[in-house]
Amino acid sequence: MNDLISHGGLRIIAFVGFIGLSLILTGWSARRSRGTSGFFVAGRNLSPFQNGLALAGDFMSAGSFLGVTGLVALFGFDGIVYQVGFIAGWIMIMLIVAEPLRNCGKYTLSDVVALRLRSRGVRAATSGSSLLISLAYLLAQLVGGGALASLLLPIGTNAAIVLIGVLMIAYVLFGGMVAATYVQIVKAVLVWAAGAVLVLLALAHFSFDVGALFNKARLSSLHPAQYFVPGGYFKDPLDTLSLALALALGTAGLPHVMTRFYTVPSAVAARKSAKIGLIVMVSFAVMMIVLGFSATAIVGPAAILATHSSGNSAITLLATTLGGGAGSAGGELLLACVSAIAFATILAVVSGIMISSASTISHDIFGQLFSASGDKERRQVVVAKIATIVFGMAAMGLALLVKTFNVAFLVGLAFAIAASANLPVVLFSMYWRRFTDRGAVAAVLAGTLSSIGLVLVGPAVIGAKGIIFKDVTPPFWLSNPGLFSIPVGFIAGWIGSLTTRANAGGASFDAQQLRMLSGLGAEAASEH
Amino acid sequence: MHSMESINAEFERQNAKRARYSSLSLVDKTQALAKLRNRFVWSLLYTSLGIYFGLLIAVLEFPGVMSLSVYGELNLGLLVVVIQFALTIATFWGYCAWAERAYDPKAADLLRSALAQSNGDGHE
Repeated sequence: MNDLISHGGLRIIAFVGFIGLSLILTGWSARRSRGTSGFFVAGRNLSPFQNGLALAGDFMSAGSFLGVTGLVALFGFDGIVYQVGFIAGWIMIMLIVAEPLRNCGKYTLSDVVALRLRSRGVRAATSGSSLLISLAYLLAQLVGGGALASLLLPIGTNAAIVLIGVLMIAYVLFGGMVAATYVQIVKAVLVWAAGAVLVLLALAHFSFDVGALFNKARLSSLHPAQYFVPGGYFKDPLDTLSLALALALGTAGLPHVMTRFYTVPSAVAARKSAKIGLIVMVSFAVMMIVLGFSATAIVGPAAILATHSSGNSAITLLATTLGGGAGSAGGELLLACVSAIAFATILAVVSGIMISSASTISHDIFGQLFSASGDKERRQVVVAKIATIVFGMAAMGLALLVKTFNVAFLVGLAFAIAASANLPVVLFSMYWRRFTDRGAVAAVLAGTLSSIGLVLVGPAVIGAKGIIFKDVTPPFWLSNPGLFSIPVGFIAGWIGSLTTRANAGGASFDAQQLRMLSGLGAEAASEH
Repeated sequence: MHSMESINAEFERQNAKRARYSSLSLVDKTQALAKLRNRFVWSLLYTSLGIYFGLLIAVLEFPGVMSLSVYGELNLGLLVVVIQFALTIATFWGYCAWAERAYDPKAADLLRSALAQSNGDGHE
C-alpha cells in the first residue's frame, strides 16, 4: 500500500480508470451514433438535462478548474474577472442565439447563415473562420493540457500531448457526437462533485466560518492590501475591458459550444438546457473562486508558486493538503482523484472541439463546397472520420512544435475571432433583413484579419512577454484585440450589406423568421 | 418536413394576397411575433450587458472604492461579482418565465397557422 502511495500509484490507477470508462462509453456510443445526424449531433435526441451538463462541461475546462483557480489563489480579485466574463457570455447565448440557432441550423454554425445567404463565398468564409477558431482553441488546449498532464502524470509533455490527441481522435472517430457528449457529461459530474467535496473540506478546515477563510486568504496572500481589489494581475484597464468584451460576446460565436444546441429535439429544449447549464456553471464558478481563496489560505502562495509559476497546481496542492498532506493515504487519494478529473476535463473539451471541426470540414467544406451531388449525407460521415484523423493529427503535430511557447494567447484569439467574425454574421443573418452575401464575407474577413493582425503586432507575440523580438516594443499595446476587432467586424458587415442590392436566391427574411420563431421546417430529431 | 423553398413559395403567395385580403396573413403573424420577441429580448439583453459593462468599468475605473468593506471581508468589489452572477441568473429566469407565459403559446399558434395554411386550410 505504501509503495502504491509513494510512487503515485493511486494517480495512475485513477487515470487508467477514467480512460477505461471513457473508452467503454465510446464503444457504447458507437452503436448510437449511426447516420449523419447521429454522428454530428447525436440524432438531436439528447435531453435538456444531458445537454445542459455537456454545455456546462465546455465551460468547466482545465482552464477554469486549474488555471482560474490558480489565478484567484495568487492574484485574488483579478482571477475572478475570467469567471464573470465567461458567465456573462451566456446572457447573449440564452437570449438571442440558442433557440433561433436550434430552429435555423442543421449541423454547423454556417448552416444558420446559409439559410438566407447561399453563395459559396459566404459558406467558405464562415467555415474558414470556424475552423480557425477551433484550431486556435484546440492548440491552446493541447499544449496547456499536455503541460498539465505531465505535471499530474509520470510522463513527459510530448507523451501527454500524444496521449490526449490519440484519445480525442478515438472518441470522435468511433463515437461521434454521442461519445464526445457522454465523456463531457461524465466529466462535468465528476469535476462539479470534486469541486463541491473540496469546498466542503476547505470550509470544514475553518469550522465553516467563511469570514475566517477569506480573512486568512487575504492575510496569507502576496499583497494583502491588494488581494480583494482589482489591479493585481491585469495592469491595463483598457486591456481588461477588451478581454471582457471578447469573453462576453465571443462565447456565442464558438462553433463547439453552438453545435451543442443542435443535439436537442427543439428550441424549447435548447432553452431548458441553457438554463440547466447556467445553474451548473454559476455554482461551479463560485466553488472555484472559494477554492482559489482556500488554496492561498491553506497552502500559501509560496508553495503554489514553487510548484508552478502561473498557479496551475493550486487546486492539486490544496487537495493533497486537505486529504492529510503529501505521502498520506488521504492526501494521495484526493490528489489522484483531482488529477484524473483534471485530465478528464482536458479530454472532454478537446473532443467537443474535434467533433465540431470534423462537422465543419465534412459538412461545410466537403458537403457544400466541393461535392456536387450523390449521397452527400452518407459520405459526410466518412469524410468527417477522415477529417478527424487528419485534423487531429495536424493539431497534435502543431502542438508538439509550439509546446515550448506561451500559447495562452490563442484562447483569447479564438474568442476575439468568434466575437468579431462569427457573431456579426450570425446576428445579422437572424435579425437584419438587409443583410447580404457581401456583408457576410466582409464581416468575416474584416473580423478575422483584424483579430489575427492585432494579436500578431501586440504584446502576446512581440516584446518582452511575447514570442519573438523580445527587446522590441510592440506596435499595438493591447494583448486582447476585441475592443477594436469586434466593431470592425460589425461595421464591415453593415457597410458590405448597404453597398450591395438586397439578396435573392436564399430564403426570404420573412420565411426565415417563420422558421426561427415557430420551428416550421426545423431539423427534427431522428427516430431511436 | 417543410423545405425553405416551400415556405418561401407560401410567403410569396401570401404576399400577393396581402393587398386583396384584410385578414391577418402568416406574414403579419410572423412579423407581429418577431416584434414581440425582439422587443423583449433585446431590451433585456441591452440592460443586462449594460449593467455588466457598467459594473466592470466602475471596478476598473475606481479600484480604491472597491476595497470599501460592506460586511466583514466582503468588500464592494466582491459584492459586484455576487451581483453579476445573480443578475445573469435573474435575467435568464425572467426570460424563461416570459417565454413560457407570453411567447411559447404564440409560437405554437404560429406553427399551427403555418401548417394549416400549407395544408390548404388557409385559403380565404
